Amino acid sequence: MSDGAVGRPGGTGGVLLRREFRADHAEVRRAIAAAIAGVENSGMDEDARHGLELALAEALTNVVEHAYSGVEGGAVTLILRDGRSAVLCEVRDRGRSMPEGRAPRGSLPAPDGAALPVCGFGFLLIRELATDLIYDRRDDENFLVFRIAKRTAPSRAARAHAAGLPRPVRRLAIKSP
Amino acid sequence: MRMTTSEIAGTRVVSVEEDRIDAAVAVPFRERLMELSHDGPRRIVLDLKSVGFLDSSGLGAIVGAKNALGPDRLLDLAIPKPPVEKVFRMTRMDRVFRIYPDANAALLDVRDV
Repeated sequence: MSDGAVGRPGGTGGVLLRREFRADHAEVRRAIAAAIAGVENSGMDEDARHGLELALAEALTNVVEHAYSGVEGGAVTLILRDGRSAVLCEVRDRGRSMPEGRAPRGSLPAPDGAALPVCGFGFLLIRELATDLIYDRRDDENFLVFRIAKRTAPSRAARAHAAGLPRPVRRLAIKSP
Repeated sequence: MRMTTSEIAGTRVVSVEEDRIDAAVAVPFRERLMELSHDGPRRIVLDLKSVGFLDSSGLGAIVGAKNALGPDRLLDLAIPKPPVEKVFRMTRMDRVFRIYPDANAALLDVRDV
């Protein structure tokens, strides 16, 4: 495990964090804490930092539970770079490929009979929070790359529309006579 | 998992005294929640008062507990912290749960008592 160089903040493309760690939940927690500390001076607003924290949790937990399912101590690399208007996140591992070689689309999971879905929310959240998500696999290594905007993201309704998701239902205000 | 319960006006309030519900604690959290809610009043209010971070594993644990309680019991949520409430909105689970800003607001809503 190593903590990398602290870059030049302010959208210079410098590396904010480079961390290599073993794939387990405790290490994921530590990596996320290091990531949040790493972006402190990058100009991210509070909402964006929460989004970064959640997107990283989902991406890294996915590596622990799926790419390295049944494997102890697989290696994970997390790199954060400082873009002008976004933080660029890169997650690498040498575990299994994503299903069908693609990152899940992240649609709302289907109910299981009368029961509500209890899993499948991870990529839905990543796709809500991130832009320009790319998954690739080369030489037995998985790469997941995405951006988290530093300031308030486009409206949820606009993103849902672009993703073909149903728009939130709005109740019409009815004026009393 | 530090979790406590109290019973107020026919409702059981289950309070989570942790700041994160993530993949590291989702399984013990779900087990403790089931243990604290499987019997008792019809309505449970899960108070996430000190929870500032919840990921899809934590969300899955709460949804799983609601499934296990079945259609005749109520699992309502008190969520004061906006980042946690946002997870329910982004996954459309805000349409499945009644979400209140705090436990008092949940207790004041007496339509089911």
